[in-house]
Amino acid sequence: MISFIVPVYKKTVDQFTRTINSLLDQTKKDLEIIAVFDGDDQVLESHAESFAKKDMRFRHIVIDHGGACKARNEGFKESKGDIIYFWDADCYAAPMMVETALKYWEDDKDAAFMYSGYKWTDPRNPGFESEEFDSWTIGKYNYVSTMSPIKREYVIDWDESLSGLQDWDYFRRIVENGGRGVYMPCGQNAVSAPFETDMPGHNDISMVKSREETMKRIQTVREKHGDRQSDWLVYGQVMKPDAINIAKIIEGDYFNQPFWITNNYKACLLVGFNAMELEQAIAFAAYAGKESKKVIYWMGLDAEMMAQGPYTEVKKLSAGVNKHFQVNLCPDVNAKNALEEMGIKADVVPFPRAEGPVMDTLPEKFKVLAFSDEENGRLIDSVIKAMPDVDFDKWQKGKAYPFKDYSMILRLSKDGRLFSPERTMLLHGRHMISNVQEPFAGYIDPSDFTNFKNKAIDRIYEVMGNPQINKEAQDYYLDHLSPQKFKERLNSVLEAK
Amino acid sequence: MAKAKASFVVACHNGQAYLAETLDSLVNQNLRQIEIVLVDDGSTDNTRRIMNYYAKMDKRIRVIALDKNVGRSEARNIGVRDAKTDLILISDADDINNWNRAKKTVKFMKDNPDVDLTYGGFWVIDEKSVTQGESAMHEFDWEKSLKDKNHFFAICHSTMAFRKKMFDKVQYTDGEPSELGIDDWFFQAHAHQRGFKIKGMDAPLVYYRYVEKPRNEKRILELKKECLGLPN
Repeated sequence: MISFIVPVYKKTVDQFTRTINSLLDQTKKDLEIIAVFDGDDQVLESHAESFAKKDMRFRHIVIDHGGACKARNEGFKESKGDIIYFWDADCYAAPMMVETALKYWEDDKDAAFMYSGYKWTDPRNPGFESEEFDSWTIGKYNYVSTMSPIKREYVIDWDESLSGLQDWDYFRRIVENGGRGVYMPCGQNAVSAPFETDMPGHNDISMVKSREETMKRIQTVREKHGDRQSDWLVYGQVMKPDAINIAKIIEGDYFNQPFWITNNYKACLLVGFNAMELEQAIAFAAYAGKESKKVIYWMGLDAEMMAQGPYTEVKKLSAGVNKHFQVNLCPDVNAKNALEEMGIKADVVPFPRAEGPVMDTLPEKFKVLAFSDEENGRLIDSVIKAMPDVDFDKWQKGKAYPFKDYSMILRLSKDGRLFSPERTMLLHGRHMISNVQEPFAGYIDPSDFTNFKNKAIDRIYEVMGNPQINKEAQDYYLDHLSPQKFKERLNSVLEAK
Repeated sequence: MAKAKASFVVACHNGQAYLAETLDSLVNQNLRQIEIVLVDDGSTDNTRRIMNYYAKMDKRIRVIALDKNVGRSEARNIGVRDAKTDLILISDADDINNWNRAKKTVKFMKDNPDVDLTYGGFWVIDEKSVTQGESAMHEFDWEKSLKDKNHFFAICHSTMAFRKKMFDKVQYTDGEPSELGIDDWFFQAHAHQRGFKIKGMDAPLVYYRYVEKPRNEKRILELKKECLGLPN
C-alpha cells in the first residue's frame, strides 16, 4: 500500500482540492491519504470532511502549528503503507505517477527511494529535470524533491529545526544510512514529469530572500553533516561528468551555477564550457573579486571552437579570461597552442583517468577499430582493403564501440590530438596507429600515402601475430593520468603565488 | 568446374600495399573459367600471406613461392611456364583489372585466330586509386613507335595477353631490362621482331597504376635503342 502524507498550511481551496483529487485519481488504487493540518483551518477542514465522506482512503488530522516537518513526522506515525510519499498540498500528480514508480521498483528492488524532475504549473518557467543518482553529488547539492516515494524502512524523522533545504538534509541522511536513490528520467524540460507544482507564494518559507540567506541555509546543513570546507569550488555544465570527476579527485565542491557563491573557497575551477557559458563565467569571476583564485581547465575542444569564432568575439573573450582568471590549464600541447594563438597562456596538466582496474588481456579475436575524418577516409579504406584477412570495424557515429572488443586502434583525424577515450584505450593496453605525436600513439606521417599504408600494414600484422597487452603504454598512462598526480598538480596551483 | 579458358599470371615482390586490390579484380572477373597463377618473388613483406589467403578462398588460384628474389622477368617466366591454358594474361601486382578483361580477351583471340599477342586501352590511376586519365587503344604501328624517340612506346603492357605457344620463342628478358622495369617492352619488341602478329582490342582493359619513381632513363633509352638496332 502507498501512503501520502500531506502537510496543509495556508493553501487555497483550489490548491488543496486539486492536490487531493490528483492523488485519488491515481491508476494505482491501493493507497491512503493522510492530510495533516498544521494548525486549524476551518475552510479546508470542511473540504477535508467532504473528501473523507466520498472516499474511504482519505482522512485528516489536526495538530498544533509547528511547521511542515513536524506535520510530516506526525502524519508518518499514522501511516501504514510500505511506500511513503511526503506530499505538498500544491503539487498535482499525473495519473500514472505511482504506477510508474512501482515499475521502477520492480526492476531495482533494493532502491531506497525513487525520484524525478517536476514541472511548474506556469509553463513559462522551464521544468526541473534532476539528474542521475550519485552519492557524492547528493552531498554537494540537492536534486531530490520532497515529493519522492521512499520505502518505509528507510523513512526517518524530518528535521524540524531547519528553516530551509529540509529535503536536502533529509535525503542526505537516508543516503548516509545506506539508502540508494534511482532517477526516473522525465524528458527535456521535464516534459513528462510525474507532477507539476505552483511557484512558491510570497510568504512561503521556501522562497529565498537573498544570496546571504541561501548561503546560511546551505552552511547550516553542511555543518550538521560535518562537511569539510573544501579549497576548491568546481563548476561547468557543458562537460558536467568530467567536471564532477575532477571535483571528486581534488576533493572539491561542485555546483551547477555558483554565481551566487562568494569567496569561501581558495580557488574556483571551471571545467570545459561553450562560448555562452564562458561569457557567464567571466561575468561571475568579475563579480566575485580576487579573494579566490579563478582557474580554468580547458578541455581542448572548447579552445578550438572559441578560436573559430569571429575575431571580435575571440578578442573579447580572451581579454575577459586574461583579466579575471589567474590560471589556465589544459590537457595537451595542441590545446596549449590553440590558446596561445588567442593570447592565453596555459599549462599542460593531463586529464586524469577514472578510478578502477586496467585490463591485462586483449580480446580473443583480433579486431581493429578504424576511424578517420573525411579527409583521411581514403587512406584508412585503402589500408583495410589491402588486408583482407584482418577484421576491421569502421567507426560510425551513434554506435557504441567498447574498446575491450578491440586489440588495436587505427586512427587518423585532422586535429592531430588524442582525446580522453583514446588515452583510456592506451591505458588499457590497446595498441594504436595514428597521426598523433603523443606517447605510444603509434605515429606514422599520413602525408606519404603509400609509405603510411606499408607501415600500417606491417604494424597491424605484427601485433596480430603476437597479441600482447601494450604494457609500456599502460604503465606510462597509469602514471601520467593518475588522479593522485592530478590532485597534486592542482594543489600546487593553489600554493603558487 | 569447367576447364579454364585463360591464365592470369601475376608476379609480385613486396607489393602488400596494392596486391589485395589487384587480386580482388581477378577473382571478380565475369569470366569465371580462368586460372590465376601468383608468383611470390621472394617478398620480405606480407605479400605471401595475402596470396595464401586468396588461394585458400578461391580454388582457381595457386601460389608459387620463391625463396629468393629472382627479379620480375624470371618470376613472370616461371609463372607463364606453370600456366595450364593456351592464353596468358599478364597482370601487374598493383594494377586493377577491368571486370571484363578476361572475357573480352578470350573472345577476341577466338575471333582472330591469326593474332598472337593482343592489348587494349587503359585508365591511369594514382597511388590513391584515383583515376588520373584515360588512354584509348592505339593501332599497333611499329614504325610510328620508332618515331617516339624518348620512349618508343608501343602498347600498354598491363593490358597484354598472348598465346602460350609464343613462349618457346619469346620470354621476358632477365638482367638489366628486368631491373630497370622494361622487360615487358622488350617482350613486345622481340615478339614483333620474331614475326608474331600483334593486334589491339578497342576496349579499356585495365586501371594502370602509375606512381612516380626515379629511373635511370638514360640507360633505359640506350638499351631500347640497342634492341632496335638503332645508333646511340
